[in-house]
Amino acid sequence: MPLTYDQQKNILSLIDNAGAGTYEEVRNELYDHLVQAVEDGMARGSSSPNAKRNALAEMGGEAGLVTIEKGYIKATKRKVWHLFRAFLPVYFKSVRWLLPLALGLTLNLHIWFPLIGISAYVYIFMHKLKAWGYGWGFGWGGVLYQTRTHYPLSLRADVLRQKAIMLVFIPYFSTTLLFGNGLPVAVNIGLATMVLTLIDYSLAFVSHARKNWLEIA
Amino acid sequence: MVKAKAKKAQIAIPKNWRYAEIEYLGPMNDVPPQILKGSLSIIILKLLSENDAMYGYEICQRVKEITAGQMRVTEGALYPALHKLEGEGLLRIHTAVVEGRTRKYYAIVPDQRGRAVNRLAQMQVFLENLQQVLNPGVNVTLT
Repeated sequence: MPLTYDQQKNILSLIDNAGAGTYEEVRNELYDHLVQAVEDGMARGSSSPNAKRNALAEMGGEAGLVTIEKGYIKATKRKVWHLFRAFLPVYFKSVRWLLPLALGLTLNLHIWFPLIGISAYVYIFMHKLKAWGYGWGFGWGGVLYQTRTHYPLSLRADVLRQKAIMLVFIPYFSTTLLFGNGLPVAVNIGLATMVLTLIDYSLAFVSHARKNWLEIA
Repeated sequence: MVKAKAKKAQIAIPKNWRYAEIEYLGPMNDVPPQILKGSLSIIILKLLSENDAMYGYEICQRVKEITAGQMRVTEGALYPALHKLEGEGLLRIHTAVVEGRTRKYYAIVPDQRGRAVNRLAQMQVFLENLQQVLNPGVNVTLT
């Protein structure tokens, strides 16, 4: 015997008042179950309130409805996590993952290319300056310092030395000012690349899930 | 959010509240729940392996029908079990509108059928071994 509109509405109110109707998937499922159980109960000769009471008791009362919804939330979270991991090979099969990597690499190149440049300058001028009357030594803590090898120095050699120092250290200081210093910067950029990849992975996952796993979208 | 709503509706949910999964109503109906625990997912997988898709109420009715009313799947435990199996990726769902209501059907994911069959086989082997322990010397093969 099909339920009247009011009886059906009553069952929906029951689910909502119990606090188990937050998500439509659970609400629809519980509603379908309860309506069918009440209809079957009435077909066996129970009155509508009795059939409703029995159907609810079978579900564990209102607390049972809430528990079902809680279980659904937990299971759905587990399912999404399962799909999130399953998406890993799909993501890395496409070329999309190269985008955050390229961005990270570009940032790294900004740091490392000037440093390579500085190394080259230092190497060249160490040789030149030696010929001009200067040697190099390492002091306490690895500090590089100049030593005089000839006396007297030529003015030409001294001017060139000053220019060389400027050419070596201006790029170094400007890079340091912009990005910070050495290894910590590289580490930060590595972390930034990982975060960017994770963000991009998450966005790609949501988009893929909406297209392919409709039941969770 | 669920807790808040439950509080609003003034429903007292006992701590560690858990609904019995299956009720055994046959002879010796005081079978401890520990024996029945864990059987629910096996029952669901068995029924779904024999049918294309089933919905919750149908599963309850089918169990009653098969066991002539001696075993009853408790509805309050059925849905969490179905949701759990779905969360594990063993079951998939599809919905259909029946008599104006949205009905949720459960089916075994085609490429997970082997996993489901394996679980059933494991239970079968376990029951056969249990039979051997209970009735030594009697060769029992469950079909």
